[in-house]
Amino acid sequence: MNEPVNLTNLREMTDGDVEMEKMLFEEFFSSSEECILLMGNNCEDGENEGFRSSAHALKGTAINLGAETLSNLCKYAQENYTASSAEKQTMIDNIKEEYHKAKAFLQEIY
Amino acid sequence: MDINKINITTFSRALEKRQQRENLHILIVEDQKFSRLMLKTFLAKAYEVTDVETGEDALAEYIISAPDIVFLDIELPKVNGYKVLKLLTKLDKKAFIIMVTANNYKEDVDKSLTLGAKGFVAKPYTKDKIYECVEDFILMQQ
Repeated sequence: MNEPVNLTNLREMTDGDVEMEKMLFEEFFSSSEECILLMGNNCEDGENEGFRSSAHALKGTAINLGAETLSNLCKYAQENYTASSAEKQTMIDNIKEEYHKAKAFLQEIY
Repeated sequence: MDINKINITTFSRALEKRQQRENLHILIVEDQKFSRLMLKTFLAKAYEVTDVETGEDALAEYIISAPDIVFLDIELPKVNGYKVLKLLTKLDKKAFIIMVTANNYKEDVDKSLTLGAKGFVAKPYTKDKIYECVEDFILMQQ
């Protein structure tokens, strides 16, 4: 089974700086939780820019971290920002589940 | 953001300093802290780096420091990267701006290059992609 996060690229970029890596993980936790909250607050039927921009923001962070599945779920949400409220809630639930897997994986490291 | 309100004296001084400096000065414009920190950590090992979160701050910083290279995120709050790109290329004919985005859509690439960007980076940031941008800049100076 694939890991929720592949840290190979991030570690090349940080040159193995452990303190920087820890700081980036903490930033990933706080910004992801904020984006998921904002998506939930912008979950009504139809077009919603707040939902789209929050999904886009989380996608960018996830892709740079190496959380490919999470970034793909965010991409789907970003591209389907005109969906119904129920569909958006399902997208958020999937993102939350994958985020928690990524968080647990990173917390195991330090 | 109004290009007519720019302090030309300040910018002229910055351009003079740009001619004289030995190390590259790179400006990162990115509203997402994670991505900003990641790119800055990498670049700061070799270059002088300034980072800002908004288009307004990017213009203000550009006038003060006239950076050699700008990594400019397309999707910024309020003033997006395209507007910043238009302003900076109008202000500085030698502006070397690389557009960055988590979207990898052909229309973003085309629009960026049409508006005067010198390159385009789709996230994730990698060593190879970033080095390639810096090398392109160095080649253009020769």
